[in-house]
Amino acid sequence: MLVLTRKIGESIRIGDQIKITIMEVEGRTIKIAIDAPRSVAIHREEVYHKILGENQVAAASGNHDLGAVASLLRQPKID
Amino acid sequence: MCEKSVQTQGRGEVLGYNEEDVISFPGGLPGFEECKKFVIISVPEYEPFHWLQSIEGKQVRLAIINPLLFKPDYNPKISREDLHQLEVKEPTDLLLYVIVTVRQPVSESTANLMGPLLINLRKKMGCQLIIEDNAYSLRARIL
Repeated sequence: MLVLTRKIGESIRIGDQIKITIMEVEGRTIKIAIDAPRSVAIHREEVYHKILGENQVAAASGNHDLGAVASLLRQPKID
Repeated sequence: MCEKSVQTQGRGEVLGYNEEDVISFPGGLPGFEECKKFVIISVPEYEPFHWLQSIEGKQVRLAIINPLLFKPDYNPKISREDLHQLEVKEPTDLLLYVIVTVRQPVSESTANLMGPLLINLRKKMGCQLIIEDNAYSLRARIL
């Protein structure tokens, strides 16, 4: 892992299409601008990680029981 | 019509599909970035669920459902950028699905409302959006 130190207004270039610029620092919060092609998805790490985890659980889940879930869903609800 | 087939995981079935039904996911899915081509398979036994089956790379099969069927007020914010990336021109191009996690007991099965699948039906392209809105759960009860 590469660790760099930058000042406000300075940038980091990743590959030839991605540029990250430090915009503002306020207390412990940093505002970062990311310039990247549309084909590169950009997300907050913890949120991305949540989706990734749930995708993997879903793919491994008891899909053979999907028929049972479908039956339950098709039943008319009794209010 | 160009008929193809793919062997599915576990059950050893061979599924037939048509080349024109293939939906490309240029970015893959988080956790399955190498899976860039899928088909949607509908089996009457599983209605209203469908399978999203990868046809390249890792064998991945995900159960999906139209979220409006169990959450009629589901309205995730989809940015112009997201629509542009999928080359969406008309609202009718768009299809929205969510991925289902079957749990035990099955009545506790959930759907991922935080990471819906957005598909441009006309262009046969899709992606998984990450909705950072606190209103939508990663594990929303379907039943």
